[in-house]
Formats: sequence, structure tokens, C-alpha cells
Amino acid sequence: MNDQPHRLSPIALLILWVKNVIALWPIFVGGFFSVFGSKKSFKEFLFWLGLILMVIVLTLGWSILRYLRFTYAVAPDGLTIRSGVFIRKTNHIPYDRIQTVQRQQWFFLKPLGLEQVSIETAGKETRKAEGQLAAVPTAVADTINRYRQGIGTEAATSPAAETADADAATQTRVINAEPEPDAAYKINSHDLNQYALTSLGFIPFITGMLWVLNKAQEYLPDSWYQQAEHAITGLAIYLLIGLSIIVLVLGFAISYLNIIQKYYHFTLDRTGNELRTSRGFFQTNTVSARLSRVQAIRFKQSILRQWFHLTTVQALLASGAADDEQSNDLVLMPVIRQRSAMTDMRKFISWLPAVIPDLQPIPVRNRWYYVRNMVLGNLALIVAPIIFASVLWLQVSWWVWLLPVGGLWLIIMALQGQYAATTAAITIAPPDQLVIQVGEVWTRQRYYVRKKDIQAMTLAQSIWMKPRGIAHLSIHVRKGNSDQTITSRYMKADLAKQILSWYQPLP
Amino acid sequence: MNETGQALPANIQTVWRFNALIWSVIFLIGGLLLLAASHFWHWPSWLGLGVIGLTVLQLIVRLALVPYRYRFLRYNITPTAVFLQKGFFFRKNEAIPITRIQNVTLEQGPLLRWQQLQQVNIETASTAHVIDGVTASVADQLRTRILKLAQEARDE
Repeated sequence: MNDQPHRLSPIALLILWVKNVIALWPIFVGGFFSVFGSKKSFKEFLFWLGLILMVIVLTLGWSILRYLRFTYAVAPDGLTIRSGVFIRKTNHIPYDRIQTVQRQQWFFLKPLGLEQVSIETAGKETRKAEGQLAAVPTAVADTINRYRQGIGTEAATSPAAETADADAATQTRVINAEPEPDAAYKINSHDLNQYALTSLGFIPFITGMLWVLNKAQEYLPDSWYQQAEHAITGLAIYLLIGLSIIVLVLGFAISYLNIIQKYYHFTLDRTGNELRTSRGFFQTNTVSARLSRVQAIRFKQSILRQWFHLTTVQALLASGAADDEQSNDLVLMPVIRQRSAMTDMRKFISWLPAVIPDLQPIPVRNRWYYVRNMVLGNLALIVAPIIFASVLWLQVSWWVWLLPVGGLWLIIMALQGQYAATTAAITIAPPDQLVIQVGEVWTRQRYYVRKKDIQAMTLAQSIWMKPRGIAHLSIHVRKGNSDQTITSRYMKADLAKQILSWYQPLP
Repeated sequence: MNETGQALPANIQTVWRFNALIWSVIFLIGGLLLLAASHFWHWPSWLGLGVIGLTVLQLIVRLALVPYRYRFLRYNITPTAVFLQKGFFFRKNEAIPITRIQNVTLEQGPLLRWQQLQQVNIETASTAHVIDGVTASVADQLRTRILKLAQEARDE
């Protein structure tokens, strides 16, 4: 790896082009329907064919231009990316400003030794990673990481290194580089299996499949129904049961396999102040992040994993490069025994307390507020409008059905409120940490936050809560490029004020 | 906790009232356009009437709430933190330590300029807080004070 400007691998051109074409999918769908949908004239067929060909050619041309204009250089003093077709852009990123490096390698790029590298700095407000190299040799990210860990710093400061020497200088360092990690973890097949089996990911999937099945039923030809009426009703029931079992098994299997492939060969290690996680079967996804970017640690347990005493550990990062595009959370430990969680995690996050502090639950007499809010909220926003709308626009027979379903929904929500109320708890872990636990959607989430990572704190109390000595306390933590608010509701007002003055002595 | 700290200058109420009025005028125009649409293209007339009705209602509520909002809004800047307090029926206390503040900006729209007031926006790494309006001299003082304190806190 030398510090001369390089082009991306030609594979990047292909990736860029495919991405551009996919972005224009409505044209293809439109073309598909007009060609195959109904008998259209030959002229129209030609029009769509021409349009599609034109899109393919134009995007190819555009991709080639962008590809030719894009160069990167990994120099001792920083990474330089030049890009832009009409407006030329030069982005110089010094290594000490880089906060996270994310490497993504699809299985088909593995034999070519290529991967995608995304680089993010402390600058905020940008949704996209600051530097994105679509397909580069894996040596690029290795070199960047070595410079970041300060192994290449000597080379960066000495002017001689800026010449051809730099190459040799880094080369020699490569040999005695790659320091042994201070702590490392690798998932074993038993843990991975347990993680996938206790995942609740199949629920949305099965719901989706049932919905599709339901929709498909509407479009079945009427003759099918007429036949079914003639057939023995028992047969229809068997069919229904059979279909439901297939949906259940399939949903569970797909969600199971998806998790296995996603967390395949999961590893976590810490070298100095740098955390690194790596995972994935089809796409190897490696994230390196500075420990200082960790804003909070979250122990997450669905009710199912609570029964099995298993927990997932995630880090809230002040960075967009993370595990999951939607959540900005980095999974540090997919599954870990609740009992050994603290001791095991302290090897990676040294500031975590050695033992789980005694959390202060919310007073028992305040629990019913959670139930009340859940029931009233759902009644006012979901159940009542649906029933009202069905009375107005649908037949009477509908709302006779909707009434018990709505009632059942409210009971489930009341139970959810009860769960949230019994889960909610908070405490100060001396000297400088706050532990706050909330129960959301049948999942217990316990956050460990250092005082310095709490950006602001809000105490809310209505005039009716005051005489009862109740208050809400919210803390604001940076997550990704935005804010995560964690609220402890209906807690003792005295405790809330105590925590507020622990955070910031009141005037 | 009772009201502690500084109240905003009294003429911020004028700004709030005019602000409510201006928005109402905009909504009113929208409602009238909808009425015109129902006249020319036979749209249901309850659309326009509904918008006008809601506009008048929200205007009354907002105007009525101005003294309440003013009476219970407080800010307090100590050497270590900024405290904001609002509301009486639903009271909210916000604490923002000076060390977390990343940025302070002053903002002045036409209404605030007319009343010679300035809005102070305080940003942390994840949140944004607003002091609705203070006199220009106080705003400048606040900004330099907050930024100086933040600088000192960071240097420590």
C-alpha cells in the first residue's frame, strides 16, 4: 500500500452502476407491466424497450465518469478522497479525526480480496459516512487502522516518510504491527444457536406472511369458494390448520437462519481504546470504534430471554456507522448469561460496575398509572377510532367482531403496562454512573450511562403528581447523530430530585 | 420547586400574540381558499369551514395561554449550568450543564427585531434548548458568558 492516489477496483464501477440502475426501479416495473401486463401495441413495447436501454446506457456512462473521477490516497498524514464529476471535491481526513471504520465484505468479493470501507469522523449532521470506498483491497483498511492506532505516527511526522520511504516504513511496521488484543470474544455455535432460537424476530415475519395469505385469499377465484362450500367443511379446517403450521415453521426457520447468517463468526475484541466487532456469513461486517464514542451500554432482554436468563449487550455509539442501519446500535455481545454478564463485559468496557447495582423500582402504588396510560392511550387512539369508523362505514356484523378483538387488545396492552411498570427502575451507581431500566414492548432494557455522557436532564411533574410525590425523569444521550431520551416514569419525586442534583447541583 | 431564576422581558408576550395572529391569518387564508374551492369545484364545504373554525379556536386558546406561559417560564444561568423551567399544571425543569454545551446561537426574526428581543438557542451533542426571547444586551451577555464558562469547563 503506497500513498499515491488510487482508483477504486473496477468492481466498484459495476457496484455503482447496479446501484444506479436499482435506484431507477420504477421504470423497470412500469416497463414490465406495460410489456407483459396486457396486449399493448408494438409501438409501446418499443418505447419501453428504448427507455430501459437508454437508462442502462446513461447510468453506465454516468457511473464510468464518477468512477474515473474518484481517487483515494492513504498517506501518512491522512486519507485523501477526490471525487465529483462536475463539482470536484477533495476531502482530506486526518487519522486522529476518524472515529469509526466500518468494513463490509460480500462473499463474492472475498476471493478478490476486496471490501467496502466507510469512514466516519466526529463531525455531525451528515447522514452518510464521510468517506466511502466502494471496493478497495483489504490492505487499505488495514493500513488506515494501523495509522489510527498510532503505529504509523512516526512515519506521519517525519518529512522523509512523505517520499517513497513511506511505503517501506509502513511495510516494516506491518510485521511487528497487529498488537495482541487486550480482550477478545468469539461466539461459539451453542451461543449462536441459543441466540437465534430465543429471537422473537419470527413474530413480525409470521404476521407479515399471515397478512399476505389473507390478501391472497381475497384474490382467489370465486369458483374456488363455491367448490369449497360443496366440499366437506372438515377438510377446509384441516387445510387451514396445515397452512398455519407451514407458515409458523417457515417463519421460524427463516428468522432462525437469518440470525445465524447475520451473527455467523461473531467476534468482539478490544485493543487499547479501540473496540472491534465482526460478523456475518454472506457479508462480513467489521466495525472499529473508539471507546470514547460509546455513549451508553444497554443490556437488552426480551421476555423470552428473561426466562432463559440470557441478555444481549449493545453499545449506543455517537456515530452513524453501526451494526444495523436503522438503529445505530452496535451489538457487543449477541447473547450472554445474565450471571456472568458484568464480569465478562468489564473486559471490554472497563467503566461498567463490577456487580449490578440495586435498582430502585418505582413504588408499587404507582404501577397502575402505567396500566391506565396504556389502556386509555390505546382506547383513544386505536380501538375507539376503529370501532367508530366501522360503525360509520361498515356493516353491523363487523363491529360485533371488532368489539371483542378490541377488548382483547386492551387486555394485552394492560398487561404490557403492568410489565413496563414492574420493569421500570433507576439508581445511581457511584460515583459517576446512572443505571436506568425500562420495559418496552415486552423487552427489558437496562442502560448504563456515565454522567459525562448525559447531555441534559429533564424533570417533569404535573400539578396532580406533586402532592403524591411522583415525577418523571428523562435523560438525553447522544445516539448516532441524534438524541435518545430515556425516561423513568412515575418514580418517587424525591429520588428524581436527588438524581437531578447528583447530575447538576441545583442553584 | 418554585419558580426560580429570571423571567423573560414582558414584551415577549406581544411577540407570542402576534406570532399566534400571523399563523392564524395564514390558516385563515387556507380555509378561505378551501371555501372558494368548494364554491367553484363543489368540494365539501365543511372542509373550509372546519379549517376556519379550528383556526379561530386555536387562536383563542393560544392568546388565552400567553399570560400563563409567561408567568411560569424561567431561565437561570449559573456558573455550572443552564436551568429552564416552564409550566405550572405540567411543570418541566431542564438542566443543561455548561460543559455539555456545544453551541449557542442567537436568532432574531422580524417580530423579535421589532420588540428588540433575541432568541437564544442552546445546543448540546444531542439536544436543543430555547430561551424564547431576551433583550439584545442580555442575549450577548448570555452567549459570551455561556461560551466562556463552557471554554473554562473544557480547559479544566
